Amino acid sequence: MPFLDRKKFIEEGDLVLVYVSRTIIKPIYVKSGEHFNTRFGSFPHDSMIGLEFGSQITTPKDRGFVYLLQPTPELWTMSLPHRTQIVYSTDSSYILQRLDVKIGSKVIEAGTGSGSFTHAFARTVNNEGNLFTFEFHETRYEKAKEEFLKHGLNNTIITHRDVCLNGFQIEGINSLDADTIFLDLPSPWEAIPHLKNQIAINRKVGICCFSPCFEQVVKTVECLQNDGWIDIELTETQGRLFESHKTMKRDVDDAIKRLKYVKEKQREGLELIKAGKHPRKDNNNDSGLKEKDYGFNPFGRGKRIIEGEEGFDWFNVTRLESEVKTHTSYLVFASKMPEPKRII
Amino acid sequence: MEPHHNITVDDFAILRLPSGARKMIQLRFDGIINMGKFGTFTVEDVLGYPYGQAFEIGNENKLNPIESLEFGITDLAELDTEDLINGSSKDNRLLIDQGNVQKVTVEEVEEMKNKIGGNEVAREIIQTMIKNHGSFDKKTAFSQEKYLDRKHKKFLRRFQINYLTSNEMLDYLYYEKEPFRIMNLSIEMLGSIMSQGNVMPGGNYLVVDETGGLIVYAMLERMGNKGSITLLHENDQPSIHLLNKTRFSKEIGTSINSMVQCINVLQFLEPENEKPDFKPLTNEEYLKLPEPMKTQYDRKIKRFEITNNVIDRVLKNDFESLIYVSTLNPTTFIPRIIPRLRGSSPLVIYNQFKEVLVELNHIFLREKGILLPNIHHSVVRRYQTIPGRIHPLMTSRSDGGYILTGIKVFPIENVVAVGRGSKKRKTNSKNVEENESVIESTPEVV
Repeated sequence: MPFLDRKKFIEEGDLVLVYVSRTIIKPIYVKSGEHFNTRFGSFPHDSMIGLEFGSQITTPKDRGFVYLLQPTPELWTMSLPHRTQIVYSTDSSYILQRLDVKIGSKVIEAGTGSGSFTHAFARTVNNEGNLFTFEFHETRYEKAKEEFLKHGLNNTIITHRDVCLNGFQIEGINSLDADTIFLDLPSPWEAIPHLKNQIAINRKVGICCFSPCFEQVVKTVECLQNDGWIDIELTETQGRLFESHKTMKRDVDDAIKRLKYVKEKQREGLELIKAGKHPRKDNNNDSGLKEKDYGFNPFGRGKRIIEGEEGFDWFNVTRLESEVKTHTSYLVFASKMPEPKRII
Repeated sequence: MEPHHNITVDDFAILRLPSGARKMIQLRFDGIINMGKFGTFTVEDVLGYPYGQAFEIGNENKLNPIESLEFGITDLAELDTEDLINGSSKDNRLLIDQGNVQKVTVEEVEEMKNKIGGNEVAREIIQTMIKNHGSFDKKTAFSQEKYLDRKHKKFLRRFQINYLTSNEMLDYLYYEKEPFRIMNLSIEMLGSIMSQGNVMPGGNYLVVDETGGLIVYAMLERMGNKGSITLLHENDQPSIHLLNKTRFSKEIGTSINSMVQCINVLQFLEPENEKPDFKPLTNEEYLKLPEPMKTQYDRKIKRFEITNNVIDRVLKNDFESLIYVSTLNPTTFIPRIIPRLRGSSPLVIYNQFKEVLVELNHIFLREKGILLPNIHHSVVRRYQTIPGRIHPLMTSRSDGGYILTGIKVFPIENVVAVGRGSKKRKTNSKNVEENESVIESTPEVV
């Protein structure tokens, strides 16, 4: 099972995430006889079978290459077909850690959306846990259901339901006994009261409500308060991705040396003119000089220099990616304690 | 390996006080916990309650479970008797800063604080302070609530007992100990490490943990009792003392079946030389040994098996993730670790300074053996969450560190990338490597 487990070699039927470029990662199911086509060429699935995940393959004509990656929830988030706005790893990783999600946790998620977070939940609670996910949009539900089945998310039960109207009760299960709740809904305050009989009664329960707008936050906080939730806290995460670069070390001493050099050349030129000679034509004896021959760093002398090129000094620096996600959603966290009964 | 849901004897736990302070305590059966001005309680009285339960110390030191540590602490109604609060103001125009509005002296407060007893002591202090406050009625209701909140957090004889999760451990170490001991790690960055490292039950992970075991603990929480961790360390013995406080204290390298196996960097980098040179005795030879020698021999063979086993594990080149939280320079170390990882393994390299990670990232960008190399950082902004008065906190802890992530791949030599075209075309097109931007140089001299 690709997401709940790990695997070394690619076999027939496996889900493989094909890395074409930084922005293109395509999920495929390996099937003998089929081809993975890109505008750079066609990659036969047969050439993938038996290889170790992480291998690179080329087109038969060596025109291009791709990498074959093992699916993880984080890579899946980068490659998945978007059906809705998705929960990105900066948020999902924080929510998982903050809500103590681990092997065996019992989770309620509503709505399922594109199923991005569902994969991370399923991986983390694994075969020992349960994930009950609810989606009210019928097409999205159908697509997600099929996807989870293909991905072998055996611990996940998806239900087509508007939880705000009809709650979380699942037929045949008395209580979902959930200890972790994630609500990514337009109006979480309509769903929260329905949680009552579905959450664990023998341990602390954690909730996270994920809403983009402040007006939603205010209503959610009030609802949680009235419903007996404690330690209510609003937070938001800011994820940052840094690009690594090199920038040239240009020292003022080199600039001074260069100015002195220029001055000297001008003086020499003037003397040549005085002597009736053409300064350029007759004095091109430094044409063969290389940069280092000046005895100082001339900052490239009219050349186009590739970042990091040898022969120059560089700082190792970072820069924020050109477009930064400044807002994903507000995260409202809260906990609910069981009855203060002593069990010894 | 499930965590205890109820407060259990001998567990280590985190004690939270109204002031926000944290203490790590062990719940010894006959223990008495002294919380200074917040009072004392006996461990026996809290055993069996669910973890996370808050208590108030009542009359004659009787413990009353309460809804939460902060329950009702801004509740003016409780104090709204005529001799206490003479109403409040619409705004603060009449509030004049005239110095000593408080007529109760510090000494008097100190004296009250030292009184033995339950929460009635705290109430007495606060009521005395309000009674003797010259301009309490000139404050707005908001401001009065804030005053109450502040005083309550200072004096309330309450506490909460939390299960020692990795989050609680992290907060305790960050706020009560020295942040550098955990490399300034934040909960959000710990979460990123766990997710990017694809930590799950059954995994076979290679870990360098310089936080005293916090990283290993967070991983074990997620793994339960399934999978294995090979802990790479730079000293003769690993430093993972924090694990001794957790339910995984028995999982550390005590037999070849322990989940956590330890190996030092010398054994890791020179495994063939470092395999213990030891010839086991035959059964007959063993039986001839005198009794004390037998015990010694048993211990020796156990160590031998453990070391051999972990070295064999390294030689399999089959680790499924690398999680590196260390101040050892990653630029020189990581390239020597990479061959030990399975294809498609995630690498997560944490450092509190991103400058430390940049050089290695340049190597990754140049050498192609690591896909999607990126330096990530995330920070959580916290809010005061009171309806009607929601705003970001005025101050918060500073950021955690940075992670360099990537995925191990096997590039074939001499292949041209998709979309890059031939070398000749490359020089003419704009399709330059994304990190090789061109710098305009200064104009030519002369």
